[in-house]
Amino acid sequence: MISNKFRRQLPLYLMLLPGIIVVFIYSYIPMIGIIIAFQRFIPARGLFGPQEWVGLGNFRYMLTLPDTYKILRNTIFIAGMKIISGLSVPIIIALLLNEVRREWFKRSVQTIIYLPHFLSWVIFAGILIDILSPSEGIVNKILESVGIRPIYFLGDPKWFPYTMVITDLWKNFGFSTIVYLAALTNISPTLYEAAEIDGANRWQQTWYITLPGMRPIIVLLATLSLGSILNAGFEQIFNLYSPQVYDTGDIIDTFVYRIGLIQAQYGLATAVGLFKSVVSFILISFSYYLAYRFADYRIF
Amino acid sequence: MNIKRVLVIGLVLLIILASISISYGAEIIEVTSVRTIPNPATVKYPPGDSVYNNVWTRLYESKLGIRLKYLWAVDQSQWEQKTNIMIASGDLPDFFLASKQQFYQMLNAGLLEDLTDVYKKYASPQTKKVLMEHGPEPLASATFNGRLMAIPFTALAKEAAPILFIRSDWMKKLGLADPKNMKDVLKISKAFTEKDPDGNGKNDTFGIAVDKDFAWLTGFFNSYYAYPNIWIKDKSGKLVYGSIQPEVKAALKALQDMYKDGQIDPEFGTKDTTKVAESIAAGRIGIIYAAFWTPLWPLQDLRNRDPKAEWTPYPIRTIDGRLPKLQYSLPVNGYWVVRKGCKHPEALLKIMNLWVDIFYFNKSDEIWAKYGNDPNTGNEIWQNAHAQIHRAWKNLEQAYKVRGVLKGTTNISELTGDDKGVLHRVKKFLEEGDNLCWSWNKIYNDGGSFDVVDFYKKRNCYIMDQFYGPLTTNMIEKLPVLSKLQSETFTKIIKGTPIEEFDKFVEEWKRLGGDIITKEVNDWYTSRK
Repeated sequence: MISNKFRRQLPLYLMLLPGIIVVFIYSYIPMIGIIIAFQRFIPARGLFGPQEWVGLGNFRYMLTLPDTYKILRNTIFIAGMKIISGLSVPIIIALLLNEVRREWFKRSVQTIIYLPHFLSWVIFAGILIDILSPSEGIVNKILESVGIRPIYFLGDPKWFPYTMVITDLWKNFGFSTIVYLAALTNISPTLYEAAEIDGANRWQQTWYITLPGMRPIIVLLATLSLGSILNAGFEQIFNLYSPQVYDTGDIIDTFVYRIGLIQAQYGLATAVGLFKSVVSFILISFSYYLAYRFADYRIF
Repeated sequence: MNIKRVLVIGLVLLIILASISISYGAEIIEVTSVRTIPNPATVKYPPGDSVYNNVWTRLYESKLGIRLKYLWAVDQSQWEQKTNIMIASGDLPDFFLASKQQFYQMLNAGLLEDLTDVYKKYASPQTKKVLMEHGPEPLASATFNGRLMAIPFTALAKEAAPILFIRSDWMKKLGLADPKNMKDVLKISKAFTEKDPDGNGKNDTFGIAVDKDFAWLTGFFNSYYAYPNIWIKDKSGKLVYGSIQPEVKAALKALQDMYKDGQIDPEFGTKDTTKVAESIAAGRIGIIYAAFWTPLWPLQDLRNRDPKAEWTPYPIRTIDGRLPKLQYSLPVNGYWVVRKGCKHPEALLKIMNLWVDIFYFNKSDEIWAKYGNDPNTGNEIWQNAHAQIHRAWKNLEQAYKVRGVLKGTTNISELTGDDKGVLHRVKKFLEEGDNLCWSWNKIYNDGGSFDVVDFYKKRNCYIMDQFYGPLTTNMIEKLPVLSKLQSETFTKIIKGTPIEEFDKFVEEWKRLGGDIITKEVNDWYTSRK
C-alpha cells in the first residue's frame, strides 16, 4: 500500500531532488563556517587550521561595544516599521486596484509602481539625494510652496529613520502589490455573485470575501517577514547614511561592515551574523506557531 | 639529387630542429600567479588574446623564459574576497599581490619565502632605484628581523599631496589678490560666497568644497598644522594621534565659522566627493583642496560647460604664512609576496624588472605602442603587465620633460611613449585651442599643478604617518569605534555644536581604547629604532 503510494509520487520526489541538492550544497554545507564565530579567525591559517579558540569572546566583545544598544534599537525600529508598512500598504493598494474597472489603467499603475523595484540602491540613492535635498530638491520645493519649512530628510537624525522606511516602501511596494493581486485572482467570482444576490455592498464584499480570501497569503508573508526584524536594509542605508545621522541611522549591518569586513575581523562578523540568524529563527518559529494557533494556517 | 633524398634530409633537419626546440623548451620555467582583470573600457584584446594570454605573457616567455600562468583572474571588486578565500584554503600561487593585512597574516603563519637574497641578486638597478625613490620606509615596512619578506607595491603619495585650487576668473572679477596665508584664503572664500562671483544675481555660490568624509579637507587641516588620522611625533619624541591635537580644534572652529556664514554647502553631510564634484562642475564652488589631477576631474567638467572658467593652483597657505607640511601615509598599496617553497622566487623580480624597464625607461615608440599604450586606439596594454611597482615622481618628471620640449631645451628623443602622449595633449590645447585638453595643460604646463608639486618637493613640505607597522589587536577592535566617534564629532562641530565638544571627544577617544593604542604604537616605534 505504502510502496504503491510512494511509487506514484516518485517522479515528484525526483523533481524535488535537484532543489534539495542545491540547498544542501549552498545552504547547509557552508554552515560549517559557523565555527568561525567562536574563533579569532585568521584566514592565512585555513578554515580548519590552528585557529585561536575564543569561545563566546566575539559575542561578549559585540555586547561591550559602546554603541551596541543604540544600534540594536535603530535596527529594530527601522526594520519593524518597514515590516508593518511593507505589509499594510501593498494590501490597501491591491484592494484599491482590484476595484478599478478599466484594465488599461490598472495595468499601467501596476507597472509604474513596480518599476523602482528594478533599480539598484546605488542608483536609487543618487536620485533620492537629489530630490530630497533641502535647497534644490523637488520634495522640499513642494513643501515650501505650501508654507512648510524645508526638511533635511537625509541629514536630520530625527527624520532619517522615517525617510528610510518611506523610500524603502516606495521602492518595493509595487512588488508585494502584485503578489496580493495574484492572490485576489484566486478568489472564486461565484462568491461575489452570491454576495451580490444576498444584497452585500462593495464594502461588505471586501470585508467578508476579499480579505478572508487573501488571509493565507497575508499570514504567510507576515510570518516570513518577522524573520527579518534584524534586517533593516544594508544596501539602502549604506548608500544614504552619513556621520551626522549615525545616532539614529547606524544599523547592525552597516556597523558590522565597518568593523568586521573593513578591519577583516571575520570572527566578529560571523558571530553577529549567527546572532541575527538565531533571532530570526526564533521569531519565525514563534510567528509560525501563532499563525497555526490563531489562524489555523500551516505552511507544511 | 633526387626528390627522395631531399625529403629525407628535410625530415632529418626537421627532427633535429624539433629536438632543439624541445630541449630549449625544457629551460622555460613555469610560475603561477593570480591577478585582477583590467577594466574592459580601457584594455582591449585582439582576437585570441585574453588576460591569460597576451603580448605581455608572451614577452615573459620569449624574453625571460618564464611561462607565467594565471590560476584565475577576477574583477577588482571581487579581488579582496577571492584572495582571502585562496589564503584560507592554503592553495597559494607562486607569487601574488597581497594586501597589507594579508601580508602580515601570511608572514605570521610562516607561509612566505625570504626574498633578501633574490632581491640583492636579481633586482635590476632601476627596480632598486624605483623602490628607494619613495624613501626607505616601503622596504623597511616589508623587512622583519633584517629579512626582506615581500616587495612593496609602491604607489603615489607625496606627488599626490593636496594643492589649493582657486577659481581665478572669480578672483579677477572681484578684484582679489593672490593669497599669502590662510587668512587671505578665508577672505577669498567669504567673497566668493557673498559677492555673487558668477554674477547671476542669486546667492547660490559657496567658498570651499567639503565632502561628508572630509576627503577634500586634508589640505585645509594641514594649513592649521593639524594632521588628522596619522601618527605624528610630539615634542618629547613620542608618537601621538593627529586627530586629537589642539590644532585640529582650531581648524574645526574655522570650518564652523565658515559653515555659519554660508560658505560651506549646508548639505555637505550627505554628499560624497562625486556629489560635491557635481556642484563644482555646475560652477557653484570656488576653492578646492585636492591632488594634482584635479583639473582632469572635476575641473574639466566645469570647463566643458563654461570655457571661461579658470583655476589657479597654489601651495597650501598656512595660518602664519610659514611653509606647510603636507601629510601622507606609507606609499605602499600592497605587497608582492612569494609562496614559501616556490622553486623560482627570482621570477617575480625578473618580471618586475621588465615592467620597470618598459614602462618607465624605454624610449622606443615601437615598443611603447606594442606593450604600453597604443597611440591609435588608446588601448592601455601596459595594464596587462604583472608585478607592477610605481615611481614616486613619475608625473613630475614628465612635467619637466614636457615643459623642456615646449621651450626647446629638451630633445624629443628623450621622451618615453607615455611622455609623448602627454605632450600631444598639451600641444592640442596650446596650438588648436582644444578645450577638452585644457586640464592637461593645467596639470603639466607652466602655471599648472606641477608648479606646486615642484615647490613642495624642493622645500620638502611633507610629514609622513610615523606608524607603518602591522595593526595590533586593539587597533583592529577599537579603531572602527574611534573613527566613527571622530567623524560624528567633526561633522557635529562644523554644523554648529559648541567647540568644547572637541575636548569631550579627546577624553572619549582616550577612554575607548585610544590610550592603549597609543601605547602599542609607541612600543612598535621604539622596537623599530
